[in-house]
Amino acid sequence: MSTILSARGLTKVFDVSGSSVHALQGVDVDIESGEFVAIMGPSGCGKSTLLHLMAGMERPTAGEMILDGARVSGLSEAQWAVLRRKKIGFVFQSFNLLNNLSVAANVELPALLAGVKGKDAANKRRELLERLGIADKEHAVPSQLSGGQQQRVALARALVNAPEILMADEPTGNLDSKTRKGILDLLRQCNAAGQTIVLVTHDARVAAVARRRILHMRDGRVTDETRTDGRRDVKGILGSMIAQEA
Amino acid sequence: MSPAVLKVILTDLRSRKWQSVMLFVMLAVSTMCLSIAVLVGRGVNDPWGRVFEQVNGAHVWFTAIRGAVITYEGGGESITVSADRMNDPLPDLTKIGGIDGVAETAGPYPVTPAFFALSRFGEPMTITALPAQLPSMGGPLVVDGRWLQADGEIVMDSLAAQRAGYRIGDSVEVIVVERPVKGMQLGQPVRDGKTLRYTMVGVALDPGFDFAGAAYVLPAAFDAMMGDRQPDYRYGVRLSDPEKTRHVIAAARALYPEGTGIRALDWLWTKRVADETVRVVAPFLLADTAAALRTSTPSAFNVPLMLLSVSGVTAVIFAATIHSALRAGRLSPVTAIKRPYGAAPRGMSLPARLAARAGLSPSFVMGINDASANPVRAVLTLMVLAVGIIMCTFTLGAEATFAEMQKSTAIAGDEPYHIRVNLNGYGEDDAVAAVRSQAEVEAVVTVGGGTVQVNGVAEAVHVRAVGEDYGNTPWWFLEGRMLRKPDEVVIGHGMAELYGLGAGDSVTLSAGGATRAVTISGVYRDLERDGVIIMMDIGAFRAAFDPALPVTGMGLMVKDRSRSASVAAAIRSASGDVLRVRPLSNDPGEVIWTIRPVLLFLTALLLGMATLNLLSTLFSTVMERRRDFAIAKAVGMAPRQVLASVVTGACFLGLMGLALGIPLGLYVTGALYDAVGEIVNAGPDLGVMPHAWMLLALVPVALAVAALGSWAPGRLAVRVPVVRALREE
Repeated sequence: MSTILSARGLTKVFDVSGSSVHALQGVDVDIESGEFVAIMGPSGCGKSTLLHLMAGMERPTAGEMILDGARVSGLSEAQWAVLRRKKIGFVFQSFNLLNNLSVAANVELPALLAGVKGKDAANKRRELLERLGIADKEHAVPSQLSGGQQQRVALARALVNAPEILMADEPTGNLDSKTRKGILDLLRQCNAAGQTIVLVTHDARVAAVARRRILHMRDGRVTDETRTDGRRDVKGILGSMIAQEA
Repeated sequence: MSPAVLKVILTDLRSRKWQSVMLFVMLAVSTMCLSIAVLVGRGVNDPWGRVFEQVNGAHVWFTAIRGAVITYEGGGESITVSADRMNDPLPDLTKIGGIDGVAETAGPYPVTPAFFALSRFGEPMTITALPAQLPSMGGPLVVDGRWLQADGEIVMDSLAAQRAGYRIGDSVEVIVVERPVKGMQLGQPVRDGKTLRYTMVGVALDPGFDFAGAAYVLPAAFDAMMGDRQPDYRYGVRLSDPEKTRHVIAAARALYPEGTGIRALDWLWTKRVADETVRVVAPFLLADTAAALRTSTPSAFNVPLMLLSVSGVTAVIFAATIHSALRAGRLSPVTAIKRPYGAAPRGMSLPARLAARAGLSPSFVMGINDASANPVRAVLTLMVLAVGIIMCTFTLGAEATFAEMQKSTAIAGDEPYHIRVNLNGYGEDDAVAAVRSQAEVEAVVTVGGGTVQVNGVAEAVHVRAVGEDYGNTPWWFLEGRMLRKPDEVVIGHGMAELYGLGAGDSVTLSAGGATRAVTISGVYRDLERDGVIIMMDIGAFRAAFDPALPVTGMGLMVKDRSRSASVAAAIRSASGDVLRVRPLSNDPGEVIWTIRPVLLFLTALLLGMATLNLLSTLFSTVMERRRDFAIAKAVGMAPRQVLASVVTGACFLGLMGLALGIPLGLYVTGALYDAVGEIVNAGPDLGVMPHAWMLLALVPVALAVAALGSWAPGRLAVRVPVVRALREE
């Protein structure tokens, strides 16, 4: 498997009312093609910040990133926008659909921004909505949908350009348990079809969906990594102590 | 208001600083405009009429002028005072009181002859003898001081007092001069005379149509002033139907032989002058205009008036916001938090759907959707834009009219000639020969005057009988064309309106027992007699009615108008100084440069307000759509696409504003032209509509302004931080 995204020494410091908040402190991450990686940790540990940096929605204070073989650390906002259209799909906790647009228009938007012809975008949209079980809602507006339906639409939107990597920030955070299961099943199906997924969650049950890897974060650092092959990679001083113990 | 609520208000304003500033500026400008409108409306809304009704004014003042011969030429009266005729008996004005339609009469009051009395600045004064008991009809309105009680007192009208700088209690100098020399016309004062002094006890307003400085003394004082000289007399009539004024004047003139020195000044003419002057230039000439019209001058700093304006704006703001405020008060907290921007959106707007269907890029579709998704806001923004465009359209029409006026003021009803010639007894053939001897003269139109009755109606209508090269004189035609055949006539706009006639109609003219059927080939604009006039071929008139009709004057067109003065001098010289030759400047420059700055100011003001309003709308939209912009950027919309989205929204609104504003502007322009034409009795269509190229040029200009104006809100949208904006929502 090839490494699709590689980050070294990612650091993010926020200036909040004159004081510095170190959200990330030198994080190293490698995401390989076809992986389903969960990033887990308590609230405020920096997991969402890490995801936002990987998606180019925030600029790192320090560190390097390589996406699909190209260095992306110093890209401009316009260049990141192009990347997000073509290579990154993003799903938010709050769905973040455009309320003035229909479901169909929401899903087609990234495709149209990427220059796909209207007809082709419509075809892709239909296929995705069919796959996600909400084809009958294409003319509805987001306010007419349930939370689960909105999240499916958001997922369809994120997948319409067949991105290299799908990032999801607490995609089930606003959903009930039954709906949550549905969304997670969909993510699993997508991964089974070869989609690389990075998912951020604070919920261990959600993280358990990520069969390959779970990265544990605390205080802006990756402290632990669990793999489905049973290997554990505990980072940092604690990790080295545990390894020594072992 | 509690401090907490005040704090919330201030915080809200501070959080939308630019929006607050723009809102403040717009409200300030609106208040200013409303104040000006109230000021102008109150000040100029028929100021003459207010005084007229207060004094139970006379609709027509007839003045019998001693020694005068009055002829009509060039749309006005020409009064020639001849020493030879000074001892001729004056016509009996009281006969006019018997005309059908005259309800009340005033006078006859003795008045000083023209230039008999001068102010210390050499300006003619018309001094009328009025009794200590003011007449019930047609008297002046005393606005300061008191009316006359003693012989050594004088009451002056406000214009005369203002010009001379007199105040109550001042000693007023009246310079008594000898009667003017033979052939002297108004406009040539004689300065030698004796000085009399009176104490000014009052200031009056007089809607009595005499724009020379008016003043009043008691009859005994008047007799002492005149000595053994004979006065003129002034006779006022109030009509049962003011609309019949022209008929009464025609009937009055018919009572006396032609040329008899009776001058008739009617309320229509004075009202036209008052309205034309005040309404057209009022905003910046209020004081001067009002003084010139001798009406009450509204103070530009009238505190109660200003308070009224501010209250008016406050009331409008209150009415506009009370509904929203009440709704805000009734908001359920849970619902409001769940839906911060009100009811759930219903999807894309129709224009956005059409744009999407047309295959426009998503940033354009988003921009159009943002501009049109809120119909109330979109409509309000469009309305303000449309008002600016309407004003623009009118101003363009005015400029087109100005361009036309620069070529010829016939569009306003003036004579199209460059030089006016009065034969003054010179033979017709010799006069024509003298004129044609000048190579610079391009066209000669001989003019004689007569009267006919039309279709058997009793009132006589003046005929402008024309000969020689009248065919191509550029009178301004409202319909049809110039007459070409002897059995054709053209009629003035006033006649068309009065008699309900138009081009193509046939009428029967009669005079002196003879009749002739003619066809109206056109309706033209003529200020003479408010357009109640017929123009016909002089040969045809002579053949039908009066073989001896003399040519009294000529109108000349020259090849180079700038040389009119020298050509006029040459003609005068060729006639041995017999012909009275006058170059007609008809220079519209003064009128244009009085009106143009006002129009440009108003246009800039309204367009500025429209742009500010658009900016405010765009800023509001961007602030409300922060989340949407953040989402769009998250899914791959580049900064330039975000900017394009905002600019597209602005241009969309600009185009809609044009689509609404230009047709409305054309309608308003036409309506205003008709209204102004009505006011000045010059007929409808008193102007030229803006040319198509002018309107087309508005489109790129409007789009450029919209695009430039949307730059700032666009940059704001571009700078929306994705993560933070989504987190805030």
